[in-house]
Amino acid sequence: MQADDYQLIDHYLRGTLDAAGEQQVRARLQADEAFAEELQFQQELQGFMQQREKRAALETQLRQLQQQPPQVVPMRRRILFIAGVAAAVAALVYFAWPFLMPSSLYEQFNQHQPLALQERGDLNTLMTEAEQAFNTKDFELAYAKLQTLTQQQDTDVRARLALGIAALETDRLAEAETIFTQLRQGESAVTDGASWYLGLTYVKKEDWQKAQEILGAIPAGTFWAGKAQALLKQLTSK
Amino acid sequence: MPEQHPDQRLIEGLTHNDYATIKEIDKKYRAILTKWVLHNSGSREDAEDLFTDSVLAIFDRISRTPPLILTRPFSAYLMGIARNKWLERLRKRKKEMQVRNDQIKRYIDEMDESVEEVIIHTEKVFERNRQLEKTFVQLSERCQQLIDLIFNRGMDTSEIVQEMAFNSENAYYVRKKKCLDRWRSLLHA
Repeated sequence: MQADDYQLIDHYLRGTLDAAGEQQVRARLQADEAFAEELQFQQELQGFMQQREKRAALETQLRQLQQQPPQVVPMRRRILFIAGVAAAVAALVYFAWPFLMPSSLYEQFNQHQPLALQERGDLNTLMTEAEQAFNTKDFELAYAKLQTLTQQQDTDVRARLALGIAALETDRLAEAETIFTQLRQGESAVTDGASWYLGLTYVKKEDWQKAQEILGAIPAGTFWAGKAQALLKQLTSK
Repeated sequence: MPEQHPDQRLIEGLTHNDYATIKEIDKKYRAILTKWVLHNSGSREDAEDLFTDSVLAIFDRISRTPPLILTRPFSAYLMGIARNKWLERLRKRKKEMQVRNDQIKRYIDEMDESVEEVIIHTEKVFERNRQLEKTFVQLSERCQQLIDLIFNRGMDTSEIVQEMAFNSENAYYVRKKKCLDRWRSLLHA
């Protein structure tokens, strides 16, 4: 391995090589085992680092769910419970159907993923409080905590996105719109998420045309595109 | 070619940290696994760790190539991974190896050779990621920051040079090499 090789690998992994550079990498891969091993190692590290935050968030979510212990209910009690629930649901559907419908299109789609801002090993009280408030849907408190947090660390786009969601939930629609628009224009991991929430902001404002415009522009094949398509289907009837 | 199982949707959901998917997996399988661990010399805490590690192992496998395509129900993979992990933990504790499979038998019965292969690969990936995590946090704070900027944030060289106050691009490359060499040596230690 020569000093230049590390630069070559660096550019290759960033995707900044031209055709000649790409060809040079392919040739080195064939001819130089040490080069191939180094590239493979760095590709593995890149994959690991790109998933690390998501993995930590998944672990946080699983641990939070574990705070609700699994219920093992005896069969007899379970049958009685199911029968009781079925009867109650039947009565409710009969008498209160109109009130059971979601009161707005927004409420059919405003399910948020839990907030997990902290990296493993972090112990930031403000982050913990913001996460707890957000995840228990106390959006007024979450808004206050996230506002303080983002003033301290304005580079954390996940916190900015969560602040936008808290603003949206607490009817600070103009502020939510500004936050999502800014995030949507940047290049970060939350760009598509910001587009989804900007669309949802317009749904809440009942500005159907703008909502369609924003949601329709979310790149196909992404997670948010699936949600956007479901919402767009409903919007076409507006 | 075997057909893709409808549970593939759970894999897609996990890929995107979709909370509804995570909740569904938790609701469907955690209680069963807990019951099984409690019947096989484990505590509730053991069961919770085992469940979390098994789901994380699947997440780790999803993040690697080739893509994970389920040909059997998701439960067959999850319970198979959990069973292997639990046997390994009992082995380390030098406990009696006879485990009763009553509670998870129906899931284990859904396994075939292809599932076994995925489980073995998944275990390897999980173990490798565990090592990567363990050694990453042993790096200096500056190395951790540099590696995060390079591989995760996708910043270009000039931005990193500025962000981390290197004197030149050359200094950046030297530092990067040192950090990666250190990480490699920790992995091989």
